[in-house]
Amino acid sequence: MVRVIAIISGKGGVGKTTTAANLGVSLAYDYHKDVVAIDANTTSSGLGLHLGNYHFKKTLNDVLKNRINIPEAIFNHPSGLKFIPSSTSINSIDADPAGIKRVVSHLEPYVDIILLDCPPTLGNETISGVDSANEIIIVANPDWASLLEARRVIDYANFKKKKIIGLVLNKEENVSEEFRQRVIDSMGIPIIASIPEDNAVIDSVTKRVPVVHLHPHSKAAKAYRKLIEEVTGEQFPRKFGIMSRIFG
Amino acid sequence: MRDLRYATLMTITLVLFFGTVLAQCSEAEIANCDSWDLKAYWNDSSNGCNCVKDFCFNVTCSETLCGANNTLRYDGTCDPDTSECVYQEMNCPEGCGYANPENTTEDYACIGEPVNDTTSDCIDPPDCTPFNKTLNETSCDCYIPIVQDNSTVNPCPQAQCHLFDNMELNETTCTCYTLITENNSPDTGSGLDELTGFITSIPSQLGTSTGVIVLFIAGIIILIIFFFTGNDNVETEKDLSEFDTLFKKRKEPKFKKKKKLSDSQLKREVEKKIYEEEDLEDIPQTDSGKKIYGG
Repeated sequence: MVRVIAIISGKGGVGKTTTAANLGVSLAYDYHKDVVAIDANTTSSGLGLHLGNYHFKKTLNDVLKNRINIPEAIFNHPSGLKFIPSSTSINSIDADPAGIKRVVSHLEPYVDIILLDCPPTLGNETISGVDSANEIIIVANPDWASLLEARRVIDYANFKKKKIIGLVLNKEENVSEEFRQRVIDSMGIPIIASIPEDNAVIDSVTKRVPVVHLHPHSKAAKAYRKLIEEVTGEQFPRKFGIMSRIFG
Repeated sequence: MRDLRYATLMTITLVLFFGTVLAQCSEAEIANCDSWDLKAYWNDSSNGCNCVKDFCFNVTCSETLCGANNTLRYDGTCDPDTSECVYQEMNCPEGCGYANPENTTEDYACIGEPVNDTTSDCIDPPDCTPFNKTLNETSCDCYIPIVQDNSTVNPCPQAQCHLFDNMELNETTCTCYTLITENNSPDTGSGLDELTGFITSIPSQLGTSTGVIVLFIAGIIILIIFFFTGNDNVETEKDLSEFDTLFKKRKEPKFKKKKKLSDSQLKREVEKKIYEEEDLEDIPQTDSGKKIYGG
């Protein structure tokens, strides 16, 4: 069965899109999986920027508004990842996100994994993303405002009987073990990765190349690789030791 | 013999009648299923009434009349497997979707936003009125119209004379001139004038050749300082120009009316794209992206 993984959070700016971009390119490039990443954030898209380009002529919004057919909105990332972007224009913000389910079901027979980068909050787009998915990754920062909102989306995912893979604690810095345990207790799900605050991530967003490939030796890239291992249940195919650093 | 035939016929009729009546869920059974938001279903094989999940429970397929893409959707039926509404589609008749909602054709009304408005090239243009904005026919975006009040119109908008002390606007030449007042203090000149004056006076103060050498060395020092300290600024400018380029690209494409693919055609198209990468457009990459992924 194809894995449809929705990446969601309650609060905005916690790192969902960065997580989706890194997961997507790595699963395609390093694990050789057939992956389609869908920017399910039809009102404030950003995944395209992380993958190299910001503005696309044909988008998910156009598909949802029946202007074009699904295949026309599929783009090819050099990592091998297939990508359906969302619009950055105000002209298509009224696209009905309920159609995301239709797009997912059309793609399911042809790929191994579908990643849905959902918007923050529990609006129609996120609800549609969660409904279309069979697995969920929650992203939050180690602050209670972010975690409180995350708890709400966890409740919704549980209500919808979706499998929650776990929590990605992003932008983590100086977090005590006690705090982490309290997070696990209050969220009721495991922390599957802790991504440290790292300038390499900021640089990767500026250069529009996911950090796992732009700065593979950075702390953040190492943490993302751990996340990918958790998601796939397989060891990362490449090693990133001192030797690879010297000889490239 | 005749009575026997009648009796047999009656028996068959009664069996068929009661069989038909009994082969249905009773009202109590239907109510029981209803209370669980489920649908009562007569199962012939078990000869009993079962409650099954009704994916179309509470799903009302609204008839979307002439809406986006100038498409009329009608006869919506709920798909019991996906709970999605499936519609028949046809093009809206001419005149539909225009501003006049009372324009009706036969048995359905034409509503929705203007999609074929001859005054606009934009497909499904945004409604700018709630923001008190006007539609830009070229970019299909809303913009704030500049209303010019002729009574207060500034004939020289470039000349910002009011920003300077004692300056007035000459409306004929659109230049600023200094107001001469009785208490006007002597003009001491700006800092830049002073610096220019100082630099030009160096050769005369030091002797021409020595002055030129001093200026040359000073120039080199300034260049070195600029080279070592200016990198951040250059980087910032580069980033900003990149953003500028990004936003300039934000021009909406115009879509031609697309033939809607059937389900099987769509599946074939997706399969082609996914497996054969036919006509698959590449995402443009930055220099860093090209270095890493090649190409």
